[in-house]
Amino acid sequence: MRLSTRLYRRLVKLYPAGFRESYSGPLEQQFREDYAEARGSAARAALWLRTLADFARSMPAQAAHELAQDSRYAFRTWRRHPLHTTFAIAVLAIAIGANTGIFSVLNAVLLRSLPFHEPERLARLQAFLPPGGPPDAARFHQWRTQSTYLSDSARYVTGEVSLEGDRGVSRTRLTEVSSNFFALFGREPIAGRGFAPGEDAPGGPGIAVISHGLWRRLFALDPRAVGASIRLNGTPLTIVGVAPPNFDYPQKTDIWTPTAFDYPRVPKTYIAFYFATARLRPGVTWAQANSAFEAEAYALLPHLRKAADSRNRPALVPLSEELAGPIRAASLLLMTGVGLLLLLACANVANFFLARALSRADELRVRTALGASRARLAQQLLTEAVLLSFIAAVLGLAVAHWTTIVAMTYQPVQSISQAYTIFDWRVLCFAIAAATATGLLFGAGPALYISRADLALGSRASTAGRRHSNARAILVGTQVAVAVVLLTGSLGLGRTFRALLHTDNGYELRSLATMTVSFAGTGYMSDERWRVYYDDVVRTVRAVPDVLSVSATGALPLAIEAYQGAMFTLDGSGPTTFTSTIAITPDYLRTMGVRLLAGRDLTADDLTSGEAVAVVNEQLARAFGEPSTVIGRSLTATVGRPRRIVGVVTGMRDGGPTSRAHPQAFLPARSMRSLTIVAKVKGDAASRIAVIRDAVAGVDAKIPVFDVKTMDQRLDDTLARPRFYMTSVVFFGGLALLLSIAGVYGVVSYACGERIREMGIRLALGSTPGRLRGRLLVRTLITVGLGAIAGITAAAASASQLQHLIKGAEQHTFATSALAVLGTILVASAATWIATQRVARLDVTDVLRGN
Amino acid sequence: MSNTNRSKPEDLLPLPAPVFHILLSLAEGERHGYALKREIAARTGGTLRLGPGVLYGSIAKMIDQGLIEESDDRPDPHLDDERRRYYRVTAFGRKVGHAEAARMRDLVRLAAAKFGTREPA
Repeated sequence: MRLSTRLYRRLVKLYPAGFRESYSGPLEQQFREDYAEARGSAARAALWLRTLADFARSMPAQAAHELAQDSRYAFRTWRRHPLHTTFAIAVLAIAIGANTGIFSVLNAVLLRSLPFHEPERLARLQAFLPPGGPPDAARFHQWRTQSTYLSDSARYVTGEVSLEGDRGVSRTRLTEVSSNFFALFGREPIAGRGFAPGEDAPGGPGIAVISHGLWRRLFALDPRAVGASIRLNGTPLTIVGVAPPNFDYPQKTDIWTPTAFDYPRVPKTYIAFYFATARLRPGVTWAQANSAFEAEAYALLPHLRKAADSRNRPALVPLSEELAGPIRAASLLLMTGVGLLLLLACANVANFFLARALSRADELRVRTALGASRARLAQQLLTEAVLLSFIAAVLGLAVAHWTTIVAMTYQPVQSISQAYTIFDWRVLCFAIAAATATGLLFGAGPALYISRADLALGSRASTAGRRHSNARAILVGTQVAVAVVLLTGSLGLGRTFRALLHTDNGYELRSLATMTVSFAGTGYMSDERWRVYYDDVVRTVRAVPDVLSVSATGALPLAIEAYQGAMFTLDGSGPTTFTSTIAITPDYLRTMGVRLLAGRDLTADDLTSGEAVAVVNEQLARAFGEPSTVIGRSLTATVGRPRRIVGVVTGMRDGGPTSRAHPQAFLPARSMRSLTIVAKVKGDAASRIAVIRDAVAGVDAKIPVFDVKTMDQRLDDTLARPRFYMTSVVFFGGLALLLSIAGVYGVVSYACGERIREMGIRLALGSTPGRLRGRLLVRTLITVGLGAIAGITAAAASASQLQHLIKGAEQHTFATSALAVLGTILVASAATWIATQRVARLDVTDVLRGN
Repeated sequence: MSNTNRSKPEDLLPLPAPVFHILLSLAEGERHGYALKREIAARTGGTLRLGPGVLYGSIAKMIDQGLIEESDDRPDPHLDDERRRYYRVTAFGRKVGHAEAARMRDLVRLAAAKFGTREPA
């Protein structure tokens, strides 16, 4: 055959099946005749051009025509099977929707670029801060301008402060920066100005840049905000600029001030931790910059070499990694889980399509005899599949949208620019791609079967039947395997989570109402005055009905962001232990529900007497010996006077159930910048917390009361992300189980229908319905068992991944897998038994006569 | 799926140029595809050269609409290639052809009145 004819035949293959089947012969013939007429290469080139134009003109019309025909046919079919169709659409909508939703999370934290100039060259400086700390701004600026590998670097310190406004005091995040902060990110304020060089020197002007969000909340976007005055922790500042809308680095900052080197300028209640961000010099690679940074850090601070942990070693961490950090691995894992679920849904719907294709075999035989080609039927099945998955995808967008809302609540992002949304071109493309792939995936099997199967009129080859039942068995086995993986995961996570809920944290939860007051910028910051205020608070709150005791601390468990601490020894010698020191008022330990192991609690006298005393926790005491033996001995730090140990208490898990209690020393509160008040209530604290808050606020209206929560709520907040992951995986597992039940049921009941005659004969020959059903059950269980083995293997291999979702997730155990398999086998058996009920009701004479 | 037309001739108007030309050619008698193509090219002075896709696409659609049908009659095998398919116009096709011609005639009359050109005889 000539090359040109072969090429044209290829082209013809691109026409939709119906048209191609009817006209490929005449099309080719005409092309050959045209080609024969065209003499010379110019004429032939012209012919090819005309042919291609002809194809481009006629193909879309034919495709649209057959698509409309196939769609009409699909809708008619669906109307005949409304239950099956609804089930398939619902399953696919959930699967595609959940995939799209989780993808939107991945898209937001991993794919979407940060709203900075050349964000891929921005880094956080880890474990080493450049020279020039407060108040030495000049030295820092000298360092950054002379760096050989960084083009710029900025310092900052961030924390929450009280912002006084017309509607009372609110808490906002303040970030104190070096003057070049906005320039480093390449994002200058959209109104007003940024900070000028030199404005970050101590004693500089009291100015601030506010976020776009704060501009809207506080000033309703009024341009006169620039020049207006605000008070932060009592310090007046003039607004000089408004940041761009999606700029809120770091940690959703609302106010920036150029006071990174002027620590006392804004009075603070938090411990200031300095951070630095930098931009790589053009042409410098990450590897080069990292080794230069490391060398510089080691030269200045040689002891850093000893850092064992990779997180304590000097490094330049890409900012995108820093921002995605904690949710990156978890999101990828959830994506895998939800991807498996989609695969399962595809297998399920493919099975259902295949079953229907088989039950339509007779109709298809008739249509084949009438001239409908197999390719045409396969095309129609594929069209139906893709159409079904697109409908599911559209409905799935609602599921996806809901997923993003849930994820936004339980897995919050560090910047508004990372907000999860499905209204993003990548997410929408993903949804379309997922729908197409899904449709092709579950449509291809049945379509392939139709195009290969022996559909000649009257044929009913048993080998073909066996082949098809094998194909369906593989689909069911796959479903079982995926279901076992997801079930094992959800059982493991569910058990871990339940264990978290039942962990003894070392303090009470339900009966404790807590709230924080800040003395920053008020006259109460001096040593003695806060105590006058505090005594009033205690008196007022005690008067609230059902309040059993009131106390306060400088660092409440589940609310601690940073520790203050030191290396301590016992009696000035022996081993040293890093110990966090926590300032408390009398009665705190009892109020929290901490158990006293030896000695006594701190008393009111300890606050006023000159003696330095401390209560230590079990973890610290054990570092030195038995709890009872440390009483009366002295706790000595490198600085400060020794403290006499008067009591030992049980440890508290400050970070909640996933954390561990570590050495702590409780000291009588002296000079306090803020206090967290804890009130123990008879019964549930939630019912009394509002009254207690009002009582505290009533003591002095100028002292802001914020972060009002029961300990139960704090635990909920702490467990929000683990709960979200656990719920997601359990949901995937449950759905997987449901789908595999449907899969098993479908296959078995089809097999029953197909072999009804054989069974009738067997019954006539003396077999019993029970025996027949038993045989079917055994066959199903072999398939299920093979799938389960594959599932257990995959679950064991992937078990360590669960650690990414919940810290401390239990290691894969055989028991968990066994439970998952047992569950799957039980429901598969039940599904089989129900599906084979018709065998028990079989009337032998009817069956035999019927055939 | 073919010959299921229940529409009135007017519903199909105006006809695409290839469809009308195919009707014109078949009005004279049965033709196979290639003959149709050549005849139409000759009639239009080479301005309407139907490629295979458009030609058979039009034929498929016309069969669907009931304008034409495949003919079972074959000429003497010595005279022709028996693999060729022959088409003939249906009664409905004739009606549609007439209706399209009438529509064109009315249009030409209107143009004559508006532009003052001479009406064809």
